[in-house]
Amino acid sequence: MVVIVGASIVPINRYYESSAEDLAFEAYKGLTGELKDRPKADVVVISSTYAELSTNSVNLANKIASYLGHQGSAVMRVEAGESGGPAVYTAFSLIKSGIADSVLLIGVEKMADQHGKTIQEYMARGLNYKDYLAGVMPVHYAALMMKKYIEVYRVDYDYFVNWPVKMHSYAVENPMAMLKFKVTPQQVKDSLVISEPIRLYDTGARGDGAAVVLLTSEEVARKYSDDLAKLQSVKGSSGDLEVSTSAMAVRDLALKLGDSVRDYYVQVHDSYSVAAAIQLEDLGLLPRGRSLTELDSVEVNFEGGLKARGYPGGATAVYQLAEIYLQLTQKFKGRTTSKEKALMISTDDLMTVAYGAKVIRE
Amino acid sequence: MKIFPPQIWRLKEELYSIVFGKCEDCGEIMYPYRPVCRKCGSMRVTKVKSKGYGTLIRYTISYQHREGYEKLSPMIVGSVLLDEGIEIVAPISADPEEVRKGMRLQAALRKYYVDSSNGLIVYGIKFRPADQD
Repeated sequence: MVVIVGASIVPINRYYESSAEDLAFEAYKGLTGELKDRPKADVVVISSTYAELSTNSVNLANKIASYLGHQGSAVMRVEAGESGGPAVYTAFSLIKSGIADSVLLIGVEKMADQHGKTIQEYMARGLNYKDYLAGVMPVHYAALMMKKYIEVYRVDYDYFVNWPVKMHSYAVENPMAMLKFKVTPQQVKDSLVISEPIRLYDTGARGDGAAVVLLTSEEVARKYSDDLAKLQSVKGSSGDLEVSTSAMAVRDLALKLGDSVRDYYVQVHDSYSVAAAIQLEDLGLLPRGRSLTELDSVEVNFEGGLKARGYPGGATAVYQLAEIYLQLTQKFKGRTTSKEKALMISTDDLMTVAYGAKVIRE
Repeated sequence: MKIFPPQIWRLKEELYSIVFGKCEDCGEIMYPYRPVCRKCGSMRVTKVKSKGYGTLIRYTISYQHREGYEKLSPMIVGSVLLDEGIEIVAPISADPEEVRKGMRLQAALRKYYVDSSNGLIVYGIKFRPADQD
């Protein structure tokens, strides 16, 4: 059995005074304050998508492990686009297989040191090389997906406004959220056009951040904490980038996850409002073409989502897992779920990779 | 963005024409080209060059741009249904005032990017309004 024994996050923001190592330390400090014993990690797994580009360095896993006093641990950085899901998958697999008894999972990203145009440049490297050279950006694909969704389901822009309005209303209750303010439908509709029909409020709010989760085997879990959550399963999938109202990777992930997700508290990777709709629908949680008008019927993204809690690139899935642990152990200081089970969906920006993790209250 | 000449040289076929893959075993069409069929796993995938004509089925006008692409703003990117029946995403070289859904397009060689560190210019395919017959 794989057990989450503790988790801690740093609020997503612009940290000009802090390096990636400093942010990881802040999150780690929060974790150690919650545990009965100093964490021992057989493996330190780092999730960061833009480490080489944004910090001008490589071997970040060893640098962070060393900074946190974990010399002697096996170290690695795991990446597959702006997901973080692969690192969760790796950490889970290491313990489930018996290779490790404890894994320190750290998500860290530095996004704010560079100009927004430079961040767009980094993000575009996830596209095929021809698109990248032509100046195409992920938001262009997202805009085309949104237009296709509008055509297929005969909805208008007002339909998508529901998502940021809901996410901001949740973020107001979350003291760790990046954008802790409500927005009105009119404010969303009047916000800056990025790539029409996508406006500023349809996109995730990028920032610096770090989150830490300690996972252990059942045998050593209670050495660290009595507030435990079981990481029941982690599944992953991948697919081609398509302008579609559905994502191949998420559809396949839903099949792998198996049973109905209706009983779960769910977190989705809302890099764009249309991405939230596609994931909710591909998971079978809400009906196709109506998901964003039925948000009150499900418990989704109570933390405010990437939209308002913030979007720390490749650290995102570790934030999601940490928040789910805090939710299930009733330590989360915001809107909380009453459910005993939670499902984390982590994708990259355009849903070409998808990971799902099921967590159960112990 | 720094341009590495060998990378551009390797991509000459994809940059200067529209190449898709056709599986000789199951008929699956793939864009961009790849050597293994995503449907049946066959490695008998042949490269097929598009004639370069198509119809614009949807598009976005973007007001955000990357470093080095300032002169392209506002940039138009569209879903183009090629006459061969394949939908691809490509930059559209047209005035935002004249672009419209359903317009006929043809592929054209256009400047993509100039590397300010060494002066290298990358060219590639964009779509422009088709010549009237």
